[in-house]
Amino acid sequence: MFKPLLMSAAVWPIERLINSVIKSDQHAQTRLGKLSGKQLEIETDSPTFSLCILFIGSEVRLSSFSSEELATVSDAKVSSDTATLFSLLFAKTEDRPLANPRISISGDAQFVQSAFNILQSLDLRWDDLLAPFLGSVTTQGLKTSADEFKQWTEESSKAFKHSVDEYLKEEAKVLPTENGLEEFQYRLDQLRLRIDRAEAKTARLIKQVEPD
Amino acid sequence: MTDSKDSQATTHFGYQQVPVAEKEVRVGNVFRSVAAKYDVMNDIMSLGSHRLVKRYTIELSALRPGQKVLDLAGGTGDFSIKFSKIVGATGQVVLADINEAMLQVGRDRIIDQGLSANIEIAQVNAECLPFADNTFDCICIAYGLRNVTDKDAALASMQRVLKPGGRVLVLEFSKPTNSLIEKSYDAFSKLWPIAGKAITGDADSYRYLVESIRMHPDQETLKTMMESAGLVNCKYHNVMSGICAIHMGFKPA
Repeated sequence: MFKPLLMSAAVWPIERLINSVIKSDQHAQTRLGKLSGKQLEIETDSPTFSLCILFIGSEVRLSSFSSEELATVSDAKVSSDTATLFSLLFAKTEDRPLANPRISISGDAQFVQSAFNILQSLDLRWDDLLAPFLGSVTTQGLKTSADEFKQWTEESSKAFKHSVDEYLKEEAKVLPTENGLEEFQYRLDQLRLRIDRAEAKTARLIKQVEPD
Repeated sequence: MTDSKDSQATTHFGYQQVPVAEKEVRVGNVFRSVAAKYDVMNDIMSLGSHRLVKRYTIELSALRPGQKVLDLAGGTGDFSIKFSKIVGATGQVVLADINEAMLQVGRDRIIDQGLSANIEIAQVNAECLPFADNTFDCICIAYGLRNVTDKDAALASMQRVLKPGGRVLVLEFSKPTNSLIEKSYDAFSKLWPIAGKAITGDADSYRYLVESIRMHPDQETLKTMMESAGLVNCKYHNVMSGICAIHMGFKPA
């Protein structure tokens, strides 16, 4: 009933956020200008959702309609599941995340690569975006807290990893090595064979002592 | 719609029947009266939702840089300002309205925002658009068609000036598809003349607005009218359960 309108409303703040980030990044603006007039369609199947990104000068326009609904032709289309597409936001360019079998690209692949490279190179300074709304003092407080939390998370993660490494090293000492396990397996197989032979020999001797 | 083409022909002005020639004058007076506070009243009457509906319409326009768009009955220039940013320096927007008071408000806003480079302003009658055939990539008429005396002539005129493959978008109040929403909306819209009186000092104009919405063709009728005007692939999107509808039609390529 209100879904299309709400979807349209939902992409509005995202569009404004992206454009705010672009506005503060001169390099990205120059690179985006080269894509002006092109349209990229993103399609997910879980949940089913289409998003068209139109590049206009040094800005982007988001539309919650598919190119079919808009009766237009997109220059390129990227299809995948939501999780994979979301992971692209945090992927590193050198890992070539677009070369993923779960991502289907049709149309101008070079354009998709360029758009992705610009996304990766965006200098996202969230404190600059929040400052006009919250004021510099509150934003600085938030930034300090966020930085402290980030530092604590990194240190905790490093300490945890170190502890786990040490624990595993100590545990590894009391566990048999892979070669030792293979040797034990070999000897067990040999023993099984000798038992089989002994059983066969016993059966033959019984047969000789107590013929039918 | 006119009842006949002879000199005695009448048409509706809200719930009243008036001579065809008189409707244009009366509608003109309505918009002259409300022009200065038009945008404020829009926010009040729609509780701000008109901004979302306009964005939704702009998405459906699928405009690209370099295109030419006609913002018909564009009045205070809301759409023209947004279109201008999309079509860019290589494109062009024509803000057109029959009412000079509304255009003045629109022109001032455009100049104040420094966007006059790619926006032209024209006082035109939608029934006989003074543009060459095949001129525009997109024509948008938002909350304007119901005030046009001869809607069929206006749609035919739009079809003529549209480029082959171009699209017409008609954003207009329509018929709610949900009875509960219809009743709530009816009750709410009865408050509009009161709000109009308080803010603009003019209740009659907003009474006309409410009545004209009731008299406007429903979704299917308007779609048929667009098809009769020569537009193809016509369809409509109900917005807020049909309180508004966005009709879209294309000129055959």
